[in-house]
Amino acid sequence: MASSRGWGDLPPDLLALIADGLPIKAYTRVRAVCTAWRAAIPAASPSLLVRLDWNRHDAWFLSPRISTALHERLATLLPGRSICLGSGHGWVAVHDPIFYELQFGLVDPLTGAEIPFSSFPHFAEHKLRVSKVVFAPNPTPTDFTAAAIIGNGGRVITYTAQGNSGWADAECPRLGDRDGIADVVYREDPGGKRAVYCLATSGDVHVLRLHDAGGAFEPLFDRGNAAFDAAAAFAPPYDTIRHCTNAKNLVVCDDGDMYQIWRNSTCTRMGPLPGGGEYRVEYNQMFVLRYHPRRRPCWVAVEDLGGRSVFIGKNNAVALRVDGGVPGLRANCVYWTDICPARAKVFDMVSGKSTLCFHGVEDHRAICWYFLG
Amino acid sequence: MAAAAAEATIDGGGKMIILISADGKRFEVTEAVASQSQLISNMIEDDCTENGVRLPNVDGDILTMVVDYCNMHAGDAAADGDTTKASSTEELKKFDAELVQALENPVLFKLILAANFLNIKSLLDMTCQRVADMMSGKTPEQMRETFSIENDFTPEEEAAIRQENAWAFDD
Repeated sequence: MASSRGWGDLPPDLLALIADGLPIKAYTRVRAVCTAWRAAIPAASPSLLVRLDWNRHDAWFLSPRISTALHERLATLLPGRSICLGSGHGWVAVHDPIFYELQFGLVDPLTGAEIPFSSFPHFAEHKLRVSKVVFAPNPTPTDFTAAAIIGNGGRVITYTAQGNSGWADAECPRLGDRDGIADVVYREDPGGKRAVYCLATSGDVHVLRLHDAGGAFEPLFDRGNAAFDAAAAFAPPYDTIRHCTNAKNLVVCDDGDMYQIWRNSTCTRMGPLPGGGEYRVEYNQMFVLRYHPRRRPCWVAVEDLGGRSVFIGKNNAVALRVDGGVPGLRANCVYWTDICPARAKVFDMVSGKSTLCFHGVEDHRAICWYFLG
Repeated sequence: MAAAAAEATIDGGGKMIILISADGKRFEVTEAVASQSQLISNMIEDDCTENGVRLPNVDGDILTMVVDYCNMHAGDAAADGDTTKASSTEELKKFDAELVQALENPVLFKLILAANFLNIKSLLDMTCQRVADMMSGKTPEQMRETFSIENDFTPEEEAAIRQENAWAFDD
């Protein structure tokens, strides 16, 4: 053993083993010691925000297998039932109907820092329903970019690209009678262009392009059509079973790949197919469809996620490549959160089954997936 | 330790194995002691320990500590069902605690590498935990001091890392 070798040369697998036993703060600091250590230890993510009781919240990390207590401010903002509206880049979007000072806004669950949506246009509307909020990384009280699904039908996006001074509404085009926006994803391309991708319950997708001057919707596909043509989007039987999958999420990967993930959140459902035969969709069964811009129909059911694992729910959906060996994560799996009971689950596309992410912990409610900034 | 090893030989009648350190020192131990190393256990199964086991990665002073550790823990494994087990477990805990507390750089570093190379899981876990304890509560700068590591980030990189996870660096 050469005596010149020191801690900076510790084999990466041993360093990772050591770091796995650290609290999250120390873990993050170890990654700031030197380039070799940073390379050896993967960024701690993702984690699940959970409520343990009225005033205790934790973040449970899938990897390393540790947890960290969250700032107590979160307990006053997330009372009783969960009203977390979104999460991403280290922040959580909350709706607090009790405490006036932050009715809608962003909170950093680790520090308690807050960014109120003080001039949110629907601030005074008590019956307002906001189903999801997405936002850009590194928000500050004076400068943030955010978008929210508004209204009972979820037909309107309220957005700003200029902090509290820029809030405006945009009605999503091409929505059918009982259609609405099921999910939104915020994405910035490497050139800094900002966009909110909106998935309709019909399966249609629109892109809200954001500029400092405002925003404009454009359909992702079939731009010339004023009405949504399901046949151009989905092959049978997906054009039919899209009606049996009430939980829909959109995933936009860093390389531009896009997936729709459908789950039947109601109960096992059966019915006739237009071309003959019957469909049967099991309770909580999932379907993953990948976008092919030049194919018609353009959304094609797939059996894998290209080696990624994806995280969906209230969070800004995240896709991680795990072929490189991210400990604790499984490739080609959909990580999602069930509502009743509120538990984190992982759907394996190979087995077609969902299992619990955290075993043996009964007394908790999963809030949402949370990624450190 | 020597007495304990000799006793084990008589009682168990086990075969003896010679371990040879990087600096040529020789350690005669029972199979029960040596096979706590998964590496050596596999070699015993493959019948290739006849001419001694050369450990080119492990110095004599480190191998002494490893053999001490294995001697203690071989006794523990053999004492299954023994009425004296409770007290021996206590002693073992005390031994482990003292061993790990006494560990300092660079011996700790070498012992981790040895435990990893020899594949002795309990010793590896214990030494890794010791390092984790040494890291806890320290700033990156203090960790660099403790472990004699050079900061090779550019000032820009370091600023970016701190900004990215500002919550982790707030004291």
